[in-house]
Amino acid sequence: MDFGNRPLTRRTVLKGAGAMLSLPFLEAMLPSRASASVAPPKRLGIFSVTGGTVLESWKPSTVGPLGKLPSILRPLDGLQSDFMVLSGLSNSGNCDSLNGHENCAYKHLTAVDFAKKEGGKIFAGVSLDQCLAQRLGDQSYLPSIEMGINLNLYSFRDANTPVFSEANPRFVFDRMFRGRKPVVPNWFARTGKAVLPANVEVGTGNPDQGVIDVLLEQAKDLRRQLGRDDQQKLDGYLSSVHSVEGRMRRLEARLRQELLDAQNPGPSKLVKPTLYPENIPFYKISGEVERDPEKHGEYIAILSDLMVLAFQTDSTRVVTLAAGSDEAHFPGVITVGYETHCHTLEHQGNADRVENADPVAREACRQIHTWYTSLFAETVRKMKSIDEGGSSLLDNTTLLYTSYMSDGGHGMSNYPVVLAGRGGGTLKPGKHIDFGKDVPMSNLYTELINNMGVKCEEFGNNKSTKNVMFGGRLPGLG
Amino acid sequence: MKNRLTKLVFVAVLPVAMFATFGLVRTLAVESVVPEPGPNVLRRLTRYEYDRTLSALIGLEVKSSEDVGMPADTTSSHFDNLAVNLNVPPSLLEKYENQADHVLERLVGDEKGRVTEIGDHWAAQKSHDEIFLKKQLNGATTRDAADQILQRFATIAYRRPVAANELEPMLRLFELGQKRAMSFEKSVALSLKAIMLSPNFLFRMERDAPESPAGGVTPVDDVALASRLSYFLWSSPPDAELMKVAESKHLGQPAEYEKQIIRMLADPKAKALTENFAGQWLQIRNLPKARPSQEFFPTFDSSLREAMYNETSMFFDNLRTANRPVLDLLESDYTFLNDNLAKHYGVAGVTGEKLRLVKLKPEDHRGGMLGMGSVLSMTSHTYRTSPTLRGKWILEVIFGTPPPPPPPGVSQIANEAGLAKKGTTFRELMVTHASQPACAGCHKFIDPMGFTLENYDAIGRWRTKQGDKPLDASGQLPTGEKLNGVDELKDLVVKRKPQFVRNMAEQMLVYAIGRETISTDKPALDRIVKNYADDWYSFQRLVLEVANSAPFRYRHNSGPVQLVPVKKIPAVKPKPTSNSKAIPNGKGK
Repeated sequence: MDFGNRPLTRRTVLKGAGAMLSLPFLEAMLPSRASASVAPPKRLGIFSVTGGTVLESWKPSTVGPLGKLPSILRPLDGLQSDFMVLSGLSNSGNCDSLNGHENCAYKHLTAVDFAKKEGGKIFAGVSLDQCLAQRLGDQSYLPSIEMGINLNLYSFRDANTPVFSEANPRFVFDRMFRGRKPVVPNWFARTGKAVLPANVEVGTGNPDQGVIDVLLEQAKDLRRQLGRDDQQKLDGYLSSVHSVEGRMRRLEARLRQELLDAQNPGPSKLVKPTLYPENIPFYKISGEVERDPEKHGEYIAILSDLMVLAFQTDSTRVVTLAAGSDEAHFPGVITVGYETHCHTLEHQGNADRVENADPVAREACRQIHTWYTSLFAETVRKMKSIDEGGSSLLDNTTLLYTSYMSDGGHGMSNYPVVLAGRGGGTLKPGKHIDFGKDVPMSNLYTELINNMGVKCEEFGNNKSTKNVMFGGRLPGLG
Repeated sequence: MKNRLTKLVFVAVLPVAMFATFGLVRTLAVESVVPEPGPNVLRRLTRYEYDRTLSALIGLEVKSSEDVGMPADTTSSHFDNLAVNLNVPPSLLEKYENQADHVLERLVGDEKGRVTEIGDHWAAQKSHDEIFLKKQLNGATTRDAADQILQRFATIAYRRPVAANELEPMLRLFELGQKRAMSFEKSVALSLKAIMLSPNFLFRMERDAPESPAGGVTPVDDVALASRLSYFLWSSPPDAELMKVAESKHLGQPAEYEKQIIRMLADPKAKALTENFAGQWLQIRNLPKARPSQEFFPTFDSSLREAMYNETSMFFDNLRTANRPVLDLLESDYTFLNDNLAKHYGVAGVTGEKLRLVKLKPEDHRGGMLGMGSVLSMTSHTYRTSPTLRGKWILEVIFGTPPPPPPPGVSQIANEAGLAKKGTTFRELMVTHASQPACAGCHKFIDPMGFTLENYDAIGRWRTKQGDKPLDASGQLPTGEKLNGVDELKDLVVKRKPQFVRNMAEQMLVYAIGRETISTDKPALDRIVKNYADDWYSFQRLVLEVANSAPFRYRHNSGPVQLVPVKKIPAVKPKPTSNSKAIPNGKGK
């Protein structure tokens, strides 16, 4: 990967130069008192596949310590002490004017009881990742990253605002490092020293700030001329301008921090993703991804590498990786029957009840899901190999493997759920917990939000579903 | 409701939030009928519109999905241009910022004003010279020079005249750049960037009529109407001529309005109606993702797919350019073919790679959408047809009555792979599946029409046998009507044409006004349908009627609703479209 060769934009040169010049000054300005010790932060990665799972080949036959793994989980063999399997988690409730895929997708990470479209407008809820992005976003450069060729919508800023998924790996990379070299933070070296603020005023003389100011001024003027609903829309625009401003400030702060880190970088090496050549339009690549599993696997591996890189460099602490595609074909991965189209197979072979399913198609689905977990296992191994100074990146991360449907028949009961990593000490992996039946997914999400250090009592339907359980929490993970 | 409407004035109340309260609908006995435009919507440019608008602004082609990964817009009710889904979340503003930077990198020259773009250097230099007014300014680098550049750029970008004081903040940005010793062009570029990120550019802003009371219904002013028209017909900003007519306040006059619409429909930019409107409504945008695979259908390669797409696209274009009756979509004695596609269809005597109009004979079994490879392939599975998907397409697209989605937890057809072993036909399996209580309720509506298309295989080839068995292309509707084969299906569809005619009008209205229709739109829709049906279902007439409907021509001032009668806009009376009368539709139906 050509980390250094990206052309510098005017802005980065300007800022880089500015930060460089002011470095001695900065050091002089460091407060003399030592702040609390700095441990590597907690991260949450969501690895969400399509089509649920094939339960009889997924669910371990015993609860408690993980031993021999069912075939879909087998690619994780050898990592038994690094992950746990959770069974019996479900979404529930009704929907209005949604098809089966939309219903499952809108509830997937929001875990709301009810979703709908009305007058074309989507009503769902805040998603797990966006809830955390909103609460923790100021602590890293980007509040969150959403990536993958996602034909559905998983992430929601609020009930009506879906967050799109960035399909092109290059844009994900550029968003993190445009014009800069990735630097590994030395969390250990920061211990005992002062922490630089996570965002810094850019100053009114800065041209980018100037543009922001003009936009804000103009939008406020316009707002007065509009009716109430239009005002709301313009308010959305305004808050987006503020958020771009926030990113600018965090970049300013980041540049200063990186200058310090670069002098004494962390112990691990960067896992550098190999991006696609810049001269091939991405639609050509994405077209191939859906037809050729080899290309598809490479693509998911690149996204995984980007997630690892994002965590390692503390570019963000929350990543949603949409893996797979209902529309993809899997010739080669599938060795039985003659259908290779994932969506068709999901319907034929992945019904909620085994006896409703076509056995050949079900075997094909099993093969697809084993293929998914093998890609996930690679990610887990990669994160385990990254040393953050006494703990691995995996130790400090919660990696959630799940799917937007629990089975190919648009089901929402018994989702496949794996939690890999130790979540910075909040998780004790190595086991299979079976919650029985229909414990809300929202309980899991609430638990994960709290694990990330964000106090949260109510999320999704954990307090409002008709079967509230465990007070809306999920015991036994730690 | 219709009864009441014909007699009485009908004023609905403004705020969108008060939709549930249609009980508030009031009636007033005044002489002229007050048109009810329904709620105001503030529309952001869709990605498709944004690309075309930015391209028009800078004079270079912009493809934001490739340049910066601009995301697709959320699609609801067929379309991605519904105002409710067109917001600007942070991730999108970030993309707009990246795109503006990308554009400026192409446009801003070096110290000597030369662009550095390697691709089409000449075009980039020309755009650069136009935007920076190279000829007019003669090397001047003053604030006044910057002002002139911005004046021109903002007027195009905002799609309306720009007041001098509006540009003050932009000029401050220019000065900021100058203070930081940035070059003249780079300083101006700061202001250009702010214009490209302005809500005035990204949204289609419409201002209240100052002379009318808050909440009152007023005709959309000419300049805003120009944008409504150009985004409806072109998905692009108004051109110079439309803008000139609008600024002279003549656009709203019936004769001029019609003249402009006819002119715009003849412009190549109106192909947007095919790509953007028909592409979404008829779902042919999905054709690249059609499932039949080359493994099972070796001839189904990209050139055949492309020919299929072009057939539908040229067919729809032809409705517009030749002003054909829209019923041609249901049944026609012509279509557009090249050698490849003709061979695929078994139509003799077509040579050459270029698609062209071909007259069809009954034994060709083609004509209308239902005989098109595009529709037939994209409603099929990897290796077989799907009567259900085909039936669903007919219900959804032709009649506007989409069936509900399958309930959660349903399986597809059981044991499909074991077909050969048991000697059951696929059809028999499907009938078994569809008779399960949970499924029957919907499938009895969906499948029969799909079954009548069984003479077309998964990629739309004509067949009379399935394997070594004779083919059963019959279906029985819930009404008891029995159909056999595509010809009888077409007869049925043509018989039910009022439903199609109304649906198409409604789809076009939704697309034009950027919101779903609501009960207050009924009179407008009724009028559109009646008038274009009376005019041989002429495509042009449909467009004219939509463009002249109350939701399109009027708007509410913001604020509390007033019950004030306004002057009624006289109806556009298009000249009889001789063209459409001369050519009877299809096979004389």
